Amino acid sequence: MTTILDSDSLAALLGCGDSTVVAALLEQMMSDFARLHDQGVVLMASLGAQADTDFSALRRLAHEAKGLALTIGAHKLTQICAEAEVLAQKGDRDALSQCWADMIGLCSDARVELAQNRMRV
Amino acid sequence: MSLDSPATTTPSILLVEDTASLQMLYSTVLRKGGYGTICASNGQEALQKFAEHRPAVVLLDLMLPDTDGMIVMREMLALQPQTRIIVITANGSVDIAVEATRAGAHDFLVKPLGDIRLISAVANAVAETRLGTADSFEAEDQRDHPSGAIDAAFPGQSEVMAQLLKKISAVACSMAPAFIMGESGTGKELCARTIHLKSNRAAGRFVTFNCSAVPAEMQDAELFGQGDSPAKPGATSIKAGALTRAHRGTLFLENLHDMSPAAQAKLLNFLQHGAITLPNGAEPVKVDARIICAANHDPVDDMRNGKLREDLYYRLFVIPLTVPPLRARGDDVNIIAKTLLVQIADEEGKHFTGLAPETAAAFRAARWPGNIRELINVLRLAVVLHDGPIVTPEMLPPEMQRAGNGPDSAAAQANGQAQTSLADMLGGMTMSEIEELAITAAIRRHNGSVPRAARELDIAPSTIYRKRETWNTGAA
Repeated sequence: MTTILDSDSLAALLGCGDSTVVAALLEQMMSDFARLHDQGVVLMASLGAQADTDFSALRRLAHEAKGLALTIGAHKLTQICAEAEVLAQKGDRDALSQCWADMIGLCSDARVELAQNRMRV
Repeated sequence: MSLDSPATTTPSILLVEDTASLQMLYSTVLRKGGYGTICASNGQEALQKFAEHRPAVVLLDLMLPDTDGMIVMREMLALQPQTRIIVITANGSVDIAVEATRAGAHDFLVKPLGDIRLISAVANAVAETRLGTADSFEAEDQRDHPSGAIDAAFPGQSEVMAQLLKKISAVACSMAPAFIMGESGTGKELCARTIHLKSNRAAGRFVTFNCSAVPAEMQDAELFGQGDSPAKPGATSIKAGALTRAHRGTLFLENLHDMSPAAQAKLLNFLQHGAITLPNGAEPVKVDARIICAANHDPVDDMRNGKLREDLYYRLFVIPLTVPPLRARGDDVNIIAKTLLVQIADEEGKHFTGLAPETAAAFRAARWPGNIRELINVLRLAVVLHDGPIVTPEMLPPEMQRAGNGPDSAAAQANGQAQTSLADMLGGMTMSEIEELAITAAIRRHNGSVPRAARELDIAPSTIYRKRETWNTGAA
């Protein structure tokens, strides 16, 4: 299986406290990624509707996902989030649509991988 | 679930981060570092908790769901200017770092935040709030300086000080670089602070940078900033230099002769273009800072022996000011001594109210080579070793006990007589003639050096050049 989380970043995360703290942290991260995924799906629908596209909300979500991805060392996700952030700022609907689909897909993958690590704690 | 973890004996940090897991992670790291946290997830909550708890240090994410972090920072600083705000962001852009620093951010951290970097940034900020200074070689003034303190900055009634204060008021209105000279301990920094506080930059920072206290290889980074390129893997922070921190304020540069050639070249470039280039090679950033320099010796000597670039000297030596030594300030020494005595006695838990007439005479006659710093030492010694309420000559160091009737006193009398004779000799001359006589004599004393003569006379070299032109035109 392809891992999307960087092992060093993950090790740092797993070493930030005792097992209770780490478990709570991983669960919160899973919850955050799930929320970002769900909000991302809703916003993606708005990309098809010309008048309703909230580029500012798209940008904020991409930025938040980027911050989280950076913290867990999800490099590919970080890169796509950064790209989505720029495209949202530019209002480039077409390019953003493709990028956005990749981004929410990777958010889902990240959540799954965090869940696997949570089970080991 | 509340993530707030109130401090026990350690200070609480206000952590403003909208992503719950990151809030939890930073809070955990800070707790390990011994810091309690108060958490907020948006700008409104952040301002509410800030007003409630008045934390000394804030960790602030720039992109918040309800508002821009910059706006939150400005509101916090308006409420409590001494707050140290550490900005955290996922955008490692130099422009954002500079904008945040200009808006008053103390430090700038780029995600992902390493444990050590996060704790050390917070520890530095906490240490500064305790010390009230940025560090050993760079210090910032608190911006809410009471206006009464400005006028009380230089107690005294002597003519030389009246002239200096008049000049300070005039200089404060200008943007031109000022160069303050004076012996050690005369209060050059106080003079610079007074200029800053009287200027329209008083709301900005007064940042001091002592070139002698910073190793040459660190001067560039400390003065102009340091940071990695955001594109560089592992890049985590951009630290603003003293110059950027003085944006819309004043940068006080001490001991310019100890500034490295590389930093001098960069400073010159800033003076020419009003902008600095950060180490990562991004576009130059405009910085609006007034420069005030100080030295306890003649900067012309530094220029001649190659320690100070000539072009830099002429850029900085625009408005010269000389803080007179204590011995030239007449009875000011006793006015200052009485003010200091009460302060020192208060610090030492003693009761002192004034000076005996013999003590005042000894103070008036002393040479004071260490100036006000020496006066403070003499008073502290008297206060620590004796009980008040009056400082008598027996409380003074032996050499000072003799000074009241010693050779210094005789020299002062002789000096007074010489001044009277000179005034008699000038009788019948016009002011313009006296001026020409004084300037010509000063130039002769300095072997034809106009800048040195100007410094002795406490005027700008350009004034002498202009006057000489007038005299030459008149002669022709």
